[in-house]
Amino acid sequence: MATGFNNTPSASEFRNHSSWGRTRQPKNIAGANGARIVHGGAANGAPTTVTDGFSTENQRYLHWRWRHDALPGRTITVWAWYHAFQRWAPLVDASGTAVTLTIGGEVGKVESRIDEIWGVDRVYFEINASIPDSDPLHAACSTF
Amino acid sequence: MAGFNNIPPASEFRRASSWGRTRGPKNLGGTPGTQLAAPTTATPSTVADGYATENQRFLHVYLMDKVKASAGIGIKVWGYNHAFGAWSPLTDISGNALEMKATTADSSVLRVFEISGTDRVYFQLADVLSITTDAWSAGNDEIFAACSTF
Repeated sequence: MATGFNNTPSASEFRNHSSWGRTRQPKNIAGANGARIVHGGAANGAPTTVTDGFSTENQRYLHWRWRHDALPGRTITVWAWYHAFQRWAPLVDASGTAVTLTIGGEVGKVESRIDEIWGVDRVYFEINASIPDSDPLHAACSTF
Repeated sequence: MAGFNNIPPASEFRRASSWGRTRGPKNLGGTPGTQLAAPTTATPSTVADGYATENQRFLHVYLMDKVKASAGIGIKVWGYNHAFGAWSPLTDISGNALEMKATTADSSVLRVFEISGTDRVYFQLADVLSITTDAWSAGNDEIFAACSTF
């Protein structure tokens, strides 16, 4: 077995992103790297059940990115689910401002945000109107 | 039994029921889904008032004014530090008062405040943020609180 600087670390020494949250590197909440939250679809309204949306694995930061290719005037609003409350509520930032992302019809416009979510259990993305298949929305979570 | 194969005592394992430091918000009122007691306009006076935060960092509060009698519902958050032995209205690290209101009927309002380990918190029904609060409507209005830490 090799030792010293050329030693091959054991598999257990590598960070495994299949763990329950607390990843420095943003972890896609929809699945494997590149998985999309939304890839076209109709307006989806407010969430109602615990199974709506995506688990954050109780991480601290939400990274999300939206590329808007076609239709004008779309807004995505983030909701938060708490197991502690058994309720959904619109997510707000530290100042109490709703966490939303709006693109006003600029074709090919890309927007991204990083929001603090303080460990809320699940997040849901409410779309105010239908978006085309060419509009991907990605989301991931990280913790420090 | 000792040595490298020693079995640690149970107290060495992290448990979600431990004293705070939970990433997942932990309900202050009890088990998940437990509402706080209906808030009143009384100010806190004894250490037994309010709820233990388990010295966590962030306070999450959910407020719902189900029917909205008039202006809406206002909530002021008080903090108790064992170090002081006294209650006072809480402010965050920027000096902003920890206050919130629900002014739209049947619409939930969420706030997350940094409380930096304050020992206990108390929720007072109060005139805040430019509204004169309505009375609490038991069975209709809702208030939940939870704490998390990073």
